[in-house]
Amino acid sequence: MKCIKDKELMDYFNDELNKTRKKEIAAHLDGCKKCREKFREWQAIFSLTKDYVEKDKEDMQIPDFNMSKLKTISDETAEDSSFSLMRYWIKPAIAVAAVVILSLTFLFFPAKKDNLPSNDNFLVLQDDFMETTVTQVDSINIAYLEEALLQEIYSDDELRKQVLSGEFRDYYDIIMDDMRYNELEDSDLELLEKELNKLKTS
Amino acid sequence: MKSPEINSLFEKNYKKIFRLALKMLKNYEDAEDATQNIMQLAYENLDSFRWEAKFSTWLYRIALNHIYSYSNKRKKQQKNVSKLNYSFPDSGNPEKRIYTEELFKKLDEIIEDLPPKQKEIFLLRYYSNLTFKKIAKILQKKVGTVKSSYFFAMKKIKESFKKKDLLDFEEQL
Repeated sequence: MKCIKDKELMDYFNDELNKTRKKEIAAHLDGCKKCREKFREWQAIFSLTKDYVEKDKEDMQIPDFNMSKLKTISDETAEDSSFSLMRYWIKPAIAVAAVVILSLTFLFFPAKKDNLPSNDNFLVLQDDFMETTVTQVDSINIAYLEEALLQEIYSDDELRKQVLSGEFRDYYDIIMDDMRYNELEDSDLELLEKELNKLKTS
Repeated sequence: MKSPEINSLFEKNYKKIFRLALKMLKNYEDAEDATQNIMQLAYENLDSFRWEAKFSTWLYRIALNHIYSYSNKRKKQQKNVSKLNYSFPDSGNPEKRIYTEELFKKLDEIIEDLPPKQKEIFLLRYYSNLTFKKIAKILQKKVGTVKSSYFFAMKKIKESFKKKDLLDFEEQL
């Protein structure tokens, strides 16, 4: 048997291997000094990490949580729903819009899914809560998105500075990373197909 | 929709989310504030939650987004971050205690210096007790990608200890 790779030893300590493989590894360790040494090192690290985390968790004083507190605040903020909307929904929507403007030319349908039409008139968007929506790109939408992007830039001092100093690319990369187009789950793809069919028939 | 079952889902996840927030924000007050906001945000948006997905996956996505934006906001305010201290009971061998303290402090520093994505996966794995599969679902990444990041994080920890000749601590204890 070949020497054991670090990755497999890590699987061993994370209990990700089946019984047969574990036995094979144990047998190999008996006869290989080099692997035994490596095993001992990993064992020490995993055991230290476990002890450290346990101690750390023990020391954490976690405040009590009760739902009733949540409900009261919820009722209070219900009257000021425009505030929470602005804070939690508009922002992600604008961030999405920013990407749309910047990426109108390369569309987001994963290439591997041949059954999805690669139609330039549709965009797949995902917000901060990983909700996926399909939007048809028409002149009204583009106008709205442009306005949203400008508002976003205008309302954020730091962002405006970044745009002026040419650092907008970083911001764009962060958003792109967040959106993770290429890793849509099957359930999202099903939803997309459904939405696309709806759009096509309407 | 806001039934006793929902309450128990919130309560079940509260501690894990708080630990994650505390490790990422390194400040009790901020962690408490952020966790409360996360719960509030999830509570107010329950209607938008698609029940075919797992509740905790959805909640963790909200949590991570919120913790990151909280931490960015804090960086802008340049608020001081307090260092978490470890209290060790005085009983037992004092030399061993001091040595373990040293090791823990060292490990704390290494974890703190991990690249953000590796740190995120490390904390989800150890402080929220999540499986690789679950972490992959939350981060919308492949299980292999998550495991690789975790592997690199652990390797970094191992190399740092090796560099400082600290790997023989088992024998020294």
